[in-house]
Formats: sequence, structure tokens, C-alpha cells
Amino acid sequence: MRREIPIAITLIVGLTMLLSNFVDVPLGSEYSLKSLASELGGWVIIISAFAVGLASVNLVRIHSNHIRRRSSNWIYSVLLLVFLVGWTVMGILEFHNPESEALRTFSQNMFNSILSSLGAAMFALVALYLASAANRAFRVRNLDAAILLGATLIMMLGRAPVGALIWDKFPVMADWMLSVPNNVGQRAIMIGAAIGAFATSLRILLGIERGHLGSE
Amino acid sequence: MSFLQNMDRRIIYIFMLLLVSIPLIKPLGIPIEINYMTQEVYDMMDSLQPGDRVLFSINYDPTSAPDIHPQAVIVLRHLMQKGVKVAMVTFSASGPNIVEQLILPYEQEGKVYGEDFVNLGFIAGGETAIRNFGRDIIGTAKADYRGANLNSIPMLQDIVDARDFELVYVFHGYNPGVQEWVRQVQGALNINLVAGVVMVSVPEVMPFFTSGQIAGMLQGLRGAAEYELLLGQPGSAVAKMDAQSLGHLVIIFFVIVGNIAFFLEKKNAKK
Repeated sequence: MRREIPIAITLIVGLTMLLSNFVDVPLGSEYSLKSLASELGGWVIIISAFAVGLASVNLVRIHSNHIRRRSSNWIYSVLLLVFLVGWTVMGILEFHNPESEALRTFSQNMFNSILSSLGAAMFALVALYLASAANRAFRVRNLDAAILLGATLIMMLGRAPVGALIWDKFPVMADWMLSVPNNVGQRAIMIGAAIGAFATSLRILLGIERGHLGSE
Repeated sequence: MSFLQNMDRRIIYIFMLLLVSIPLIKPLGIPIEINYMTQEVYDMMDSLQPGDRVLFSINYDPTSAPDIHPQAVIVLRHLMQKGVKVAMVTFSASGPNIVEQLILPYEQEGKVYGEDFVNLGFIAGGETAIRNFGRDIIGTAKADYRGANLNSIPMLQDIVDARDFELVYVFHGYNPGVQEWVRQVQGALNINLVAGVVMVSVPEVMPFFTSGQIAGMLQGLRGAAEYELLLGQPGSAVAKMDAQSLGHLVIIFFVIVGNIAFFLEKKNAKK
């Protein structure tokens, strides 16, 4: 029964979500198949929100241990906990005082000057790593690498305004590469992956695939 | 030759830093051609009428913001100037603050929260949340980011599902984003979907554009710069395009240097 009940729940929920996309069947006076599917979707939202809370608790547990044991870089764990708690307290205060302009401005300034700036810095670092990696690793060792390099150069020059200054056909070539070879490859991958996902979903719904239920 | 093949990364970093910084301080004014996709999106936005309602789905966070946020800024400016009402929802945990960043200048200008724009906040649940939200907006979001019941928001009166907006504009930094909107909402409700996409995700979103499931697409910072030019209000995206051009040239330069050194070394080894 420890296996049969979860498989039955998976089958019922999966079929409800699947069929609700195609038909609507009344289920008693208040519910229909579509409203039931919507209700189940609501549960997913609640569980996901709960998972965010659970992840925070886990973070606190792991980083408290780091601090207690004075593991390497434990000072970063202190910083993380300070900001985690600080941000949570600020969020709660803001939620309970929606009219407070001061709280909203403070929270927004924290976001703009800390999170936004750090995020932009992380994004900018990619350019530096790319330049370094391009010098060290991008070698024309064989025909495949030559094709890859050629495509990369066309895309880079076709997408940056300077490319059109060098040769006005670079943007045209980049558009063609995106619309034709890229589309063909992407569609093949997407359709293949979708068929694979459908087959796996069917295996889970029918109880053939049981990995998600854990070991015996 | 091995020096050129494995150049000290600090030299590369200094090169990159200098060449990217100079145009940010003193723009070079490299002309920017308008891509047909940007023109299509601009025309679509320009055809909206005062009072029309548009939904923004903000699916990016501060790490992808440098490439996509300028798009949201300029498209929102265009819509605000036209008197279009914009509701914004996010499926990214740091999204609500990005929305607050976007609407703050208009609140200071005197536009009214709840009438001209609204922040519907973050909804957890990824693809399932997008599905439920697209099909039952009030029932899924229930309250806005500032705690007000959605039934009390004037601009959301009569809104049931995503079809009640003239169009849905998805700003895609990462998943869940455009693909989830196409799968769960566009296909089911046949809504008018427009996408703003970080440059790195353009190839994976492109098939939805050519199939017509996405009515229009802006590509990364370049798309924002082109839109700023079409609107006649060049801003931060246009200013950054010179830096992007030089950044691309630096990378290409180092690829060429590395390969010349590689071939010369191979030639010497044969001798």
C-alpha cells in the first residue's frame, strides 16, 4: 500500500491536469474538471511558496553550523545570515505597513544599491572570463572548430553595431543564421525533448517509472 | 608564442576594462541599424490606444537585468506616454523590487498607482503558477505587492484572464519565461504574446517567433537601444552599445591572436 497509494494519487492528479486541457466534465454541483485542475495548480503554488521558506530554514541551519565550527570563510556565513534575517524582517514590516513610504523607500534603496549593483557586477564579469577563455581555448584544431569559430564571429559582429560598419552583410548573415540553421536545430531538440518528456510522464502516470517514490 | 596563446589574464582584463570604459565615458556614436523585429514590436506598442491594458511578466533578476532591464524601462516609458495601463507580475523572487524600480519615476511624475500601473508581486510555482495566473488572474494573485485586494484596483476591473489584456509582454531572463507562457497560456487562450529576451536566450526563443506564437521579440540590450532610437529618446541602452561593440572586438582580437600563435607554434614544431 505504501507504493500503490502514491501511484494512484499521481495517476489521478496527472490525468486531471492532462484531461482538463481538452475537456470539461462537471464533478458534482460545485466543481468541474477544469476548476479541480485550477485548485490543484493552487496547491502547487502553496507548496512552492512553502519550499522557499523551507530553503531559508535550511540555509540558516547550514550556515549556523559553519559559524559554530568556524569553518573556512565562516565570516561569509555571518554576512549571509545578517542579510537573510534583515531582509526578512524588512519584508514583514513592509507587508504590515503598506502605507509607510519610509519603509518602502529604504527597502528599495537597499535593493537598488546592493542587489542590483552586485547582480550587474556578476553579469559584467562574464565579459572578462569570456575574453580570457577565448584567448586560451578557442583554437581552430579541426573543421568542426573552424565552423564553430566562423559562426561565433558572424554572430558577434552581426549583433554588435560595429559589425555593420565593418561589412554591412554581417547583420544579414546573423539574422539568417538565427532564422534558418538555429531554428532547425532548436526545433529538432525541442520536439525530441517534448516527446521524451511525454513518454516519461506517461511512465510516471502508469506507475512504470517509480524513481520519485524513493527506494523500497 | 606560448605567451600569446596563454596570455596573462590580467593583461586581457585591463584591455577589456579600458576598451569598455572609454565609450561609456565618451560615446563613439557608432550607428545602430534598426532590426525588423524591433520595428514590429515598436509598431505594435505604438498602435495601442490610451486606456488599453497591457500585462508585463517580469521574469528576470538583478544578474540578468543589465541585458534586459533597459527594454522594460523604454517599453514602459512608451506605454506611459501613450496612456496605456500596465499591470506587472513576476515569477522571479527578486522581481517585485524590479517592478518598484520601474514604476517609481512615474509615481513621482504624478501617475496613479492602481489606475495607471500596478505591481502584482511575486507568485511562486514556476510554470504551474504561470498557468494558473494566465487563466485566473484575480483568483491566483489575490492581492498586489502592497497588500491591496485586487478587486479594489481600478485598472483591474473586469479582468478575468490574460485575454483581457491587449497584449502580454514577457521579459525573459531565464526560465520560467517565454516558453512557459507559450506552453501554458498562449496556446490555450490564444493571447497576443510579445517577448523581450536576453541575448543569450534568443536562439531558444526564436522558433516560437517564426512559428507566430510570439507576435514580436526584442533582443537583449541591442533591442532596447533600437527601441530608444525609434522612440526618439536615446538613453542608457544606446550609450552602452558602443561599449558592447568594443567588448566584442576585444574578444575577437584575442581569439585571432591565440589562433595565430597556435598555428605559428605548430609550424615551428613541424620544422
